[in-house]
Amino acid sequence: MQLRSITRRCSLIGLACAFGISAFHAPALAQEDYPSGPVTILVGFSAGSSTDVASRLLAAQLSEILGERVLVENRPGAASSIATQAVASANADGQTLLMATVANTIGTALGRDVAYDFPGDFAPVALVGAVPMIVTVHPDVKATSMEELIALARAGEPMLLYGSAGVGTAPHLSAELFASSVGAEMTHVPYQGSGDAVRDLAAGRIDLVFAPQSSAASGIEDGSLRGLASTLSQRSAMFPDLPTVSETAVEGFDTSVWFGLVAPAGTPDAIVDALADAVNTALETDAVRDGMASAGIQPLGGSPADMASYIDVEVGNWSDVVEAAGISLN
Amino acid sequence: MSAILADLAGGFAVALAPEALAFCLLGATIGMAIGVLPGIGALATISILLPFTFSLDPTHGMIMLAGIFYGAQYGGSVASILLNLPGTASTAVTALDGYPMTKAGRAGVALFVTTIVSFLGGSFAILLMTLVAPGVASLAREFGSTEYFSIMLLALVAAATLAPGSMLKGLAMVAFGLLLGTVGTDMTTGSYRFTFGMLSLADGLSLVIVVMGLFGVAEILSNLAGGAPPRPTQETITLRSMLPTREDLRRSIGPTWRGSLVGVVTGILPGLGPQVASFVAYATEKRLSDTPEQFGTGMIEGVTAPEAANNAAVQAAFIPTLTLGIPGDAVMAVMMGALMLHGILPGPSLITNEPDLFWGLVASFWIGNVILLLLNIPLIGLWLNVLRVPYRLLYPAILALICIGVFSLRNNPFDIVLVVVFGVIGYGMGLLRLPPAPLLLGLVLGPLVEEHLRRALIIGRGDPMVFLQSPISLAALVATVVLIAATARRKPPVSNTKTQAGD
Repeated sequence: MQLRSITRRCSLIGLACAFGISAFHAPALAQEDYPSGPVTILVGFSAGSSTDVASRLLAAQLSEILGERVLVENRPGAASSIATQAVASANADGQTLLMATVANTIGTALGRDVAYDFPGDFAPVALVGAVPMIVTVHPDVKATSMEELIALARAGEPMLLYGSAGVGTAPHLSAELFASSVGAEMTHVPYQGSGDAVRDLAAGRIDLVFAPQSSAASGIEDGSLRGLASTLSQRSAMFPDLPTVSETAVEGFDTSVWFGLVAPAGTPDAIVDALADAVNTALETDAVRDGMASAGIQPLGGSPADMASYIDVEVGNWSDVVEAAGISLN
Repeated sequence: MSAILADLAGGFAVALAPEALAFCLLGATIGMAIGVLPGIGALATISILLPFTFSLDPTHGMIMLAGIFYGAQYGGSVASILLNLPGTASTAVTALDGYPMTKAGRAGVALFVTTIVSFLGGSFAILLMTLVAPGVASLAREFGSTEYFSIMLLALVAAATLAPGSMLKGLAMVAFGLLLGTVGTDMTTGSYRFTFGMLSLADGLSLVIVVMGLFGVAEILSNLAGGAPPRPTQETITLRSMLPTREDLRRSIGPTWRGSLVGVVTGILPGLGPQVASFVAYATEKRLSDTPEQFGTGMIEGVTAPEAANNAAVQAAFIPTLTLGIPGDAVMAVMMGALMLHGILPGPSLITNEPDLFWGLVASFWIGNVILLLLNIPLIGLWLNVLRVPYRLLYPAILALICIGVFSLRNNPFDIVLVVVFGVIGYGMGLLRLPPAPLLLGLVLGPLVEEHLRRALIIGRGDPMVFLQSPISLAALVATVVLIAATARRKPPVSNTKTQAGD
């Protein structure tokens, strides 16, 4: 694998010399040579999920920018581990990419037994977008602000019940992070997805959910749910009046259901840079902006280095949460 | 009432526009086609076609996607009845009595009746949706894990004696199904159970794969091993040979209404879907029948009840999705995702905010069902010709379709291996005369029972009394106990004579 990518890089340079093109224009060259056929983005979640929606919006624009078809292939299963495994063992030529998500960093923090190393086996390209979670309570819960919620959670009489999309999902670990940060204990009620959790929340069976805003939006708008704060460090574009958790309760709190493009490790830098440029250009188009906005996704973007450090911080944070909450899968 | 009529008239104005009509026809036709093909289901098709709807008007997109969903229910029974190969998982039960009807040369009647009751079941649910959608939808909110657990338990007990033949073998297969249902991720702890290190098993065994293996692949294997069975010959296909007798019709009326009712209730309740509807409808008929031992030999009730139920269920599933924003199953979740992409939030305000979309969709359901009815009746003759295709051509084609269909679920080659494994298991079960339908029941209901039991106990803070405090749950538990007591008292006549002989 390593050898193949080195020879490939050599041939790229050789090609550059042969055509008398300065090595400074490597990204431009990569765009001429790459892509060499249809590009496939693997998505570890099923059609219609936020990750899938963002991937398809992006892929349509990338196709125009790169001048080659960019396809989205859903390979759902095992919290996206199946798709991640497939890309980890794909050729490092930029033809097969993964829409990595928060599930990958959480998977690493949980120490799932998988045959790949995330992020070690991957070359970050660029962050794409994030769906903030909204701290959502049932209207009967006696908390209209984060301060009041924290007081209730700390009192623990009875212990607050929080729903999530399942063990080891961003909504679960975000609630755990919140609880351990404010020194409270809450009881976890796992569901098969945020939609199910929000349904029981609206019926008043549980007290709160850290719900991706795409799941909570309709309930908050019709008044069957009450939103208290959003979980990204900046306010949600969908609910600009809601404060952030960081503003009100836990400084530095910054979690979301995020996703970003990664390539297999060893993909030539020229290709990674060209892809990152293309992603950032695509994120500026109206089609992607509007589509993401209506699905409750906030665009991110940035350089490969930005994404690499983002992933490092995420893995560190989630590992702390897993340890603090004593979550063990085995 | 007049307000509803005015709304519905507005809806028909939307749905009868040429473009909307074209998308309705397209969706219903695609749905019917993929329903007929074994393995390829509505979920995969809708997922594949979803991106194409992004550029459409949201109402048109939904009309087409919805047409695929309910159209598949019409087509699904064709292969079940003719070849014992369920086209969709929810029509596996139809094969129990539909295939014996084919063997008895009554395939035309079975297909004809199926088409009619599919239409009736669907229409019943649409009528309900038209009249009382918001009121009925709020009913779904009354159902939490406590109520789900007790009702699922009732369904499991009621349907445990689903299969014809030995009761003991049936119960053993329910237990096997329950065990298979434990494969996958433990919801409460997140640990993997019985995955043997294979990530592809982390989400459990897909019902579609198990159905295609146990019914489809196994049927082909057993025919290869035992030589092809004598083919039911259908020499002349006239309208007369398709028409049910007066007796058939008389016996179909009750099952059709009861099946529709079962379908509507299971459709409205999230998480159950058409599979559970068809199982429960079949079991209900068997319970109510004077001659339960004849089920499995080609009883027309065994075809009409589940077919009315699964069509009613898919239509009713739109009620909670659109009016509460609660997707009942994976297909509905994809549809809801499609709506949200267009900036439309499904929920209680949808009917007032987007009347054109809601009523246009309801009107398109009426139109779509009429289209399917008109489309299906002339096709029955064509489907019967499938029986004349030589096995050497038919079987490879079916196997290829099953592989494509199973692969399309999640683009995972492992699933093809899995369908073959279940084919071999199904072949072995056939040799031992173990019925596959109860296994499916265990596989469908087992994970639901477990999930809701554990969640109800977490929410109830460990107190098992929660199941008796909810009136709905209490009623279901009492019914379960009564049912067990009644079953214990009423010994099946066959085993009665056996014990007497043994004495």
